[in-house]
Amino acid sequence: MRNPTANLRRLPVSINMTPMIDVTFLLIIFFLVSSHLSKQENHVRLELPNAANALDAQLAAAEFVVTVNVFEDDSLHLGAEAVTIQRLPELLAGRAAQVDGPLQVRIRCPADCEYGIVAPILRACAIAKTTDVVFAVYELNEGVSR
Amino acid sequence: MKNISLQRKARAAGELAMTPMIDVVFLLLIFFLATASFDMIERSMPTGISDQPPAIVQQGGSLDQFLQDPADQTDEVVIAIKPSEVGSPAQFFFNDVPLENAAAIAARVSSLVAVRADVPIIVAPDTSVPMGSAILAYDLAKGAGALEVFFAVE
Repeated sequence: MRNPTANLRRLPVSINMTPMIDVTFLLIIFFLVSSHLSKQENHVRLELPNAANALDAQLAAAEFVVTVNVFEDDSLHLGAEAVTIQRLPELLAGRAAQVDGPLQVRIRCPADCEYGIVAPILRACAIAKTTDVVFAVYELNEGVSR
Repeated sequence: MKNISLQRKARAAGELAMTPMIDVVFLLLIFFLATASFDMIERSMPTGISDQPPAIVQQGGSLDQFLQDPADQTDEVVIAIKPSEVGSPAQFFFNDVPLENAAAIAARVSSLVAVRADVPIIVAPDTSVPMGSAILAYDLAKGAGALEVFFAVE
């Protein structure tokens, strides 16, 4: 009769790493993709104007930034909230009061949006005393005609 | 179910286990496809707001007076943008002088900046002018070396 303990001693002990690595990779990909998608979610796609002398968005960003989106139908969104131009000065002033430092207003508007829609936003910024205003633009490529 | 000893024999005979490699290659493929960003990179154009009318207007004069007085024009420059009827989306004016095209803004501003770099330049687009043209004028003035460029706000 064979001794089972002798058999165990002879077999080399090894852990199968492949399933663990598979699962680890899947988890890494899941978290990377989900964080990537959540970033895209608050990033409304607009046909922004082109400019050659713009700065890197991260370099130009202040510590506290609020984004005003102007949609194709001329409606306004302050962050994720739909707002009217009449309420914008009050809301901007409120946001500026909440943060501990100067507030930067980032305006994202389509290139074909009329200045008559954007001028009241600039006026609202001036009323709310948030004078740090930046426009979101795409970098002007050499192939783009002016 | 395969016998472990049979598998070992097969490997010993030189057969390569491809399954884990293909697993990893597929995972890497999915990873790079998912993390690649196909969006255009956004940049920021810092801007200023001018709610102050030209000095002569503040002192009781009219905007026409300001535009006709050459002495005041080195103190402040207004680039007006009006909608164009044909062709290009907008017509540019440098202190009320119509310009042939947008590129002329850069030429005018750079010659002005050579004399005085801190001359305030106010971009005053008409309400029906597209933002693309307003940003273009602003960008050209900045690119020509102007230190202070503002958007006019009523």
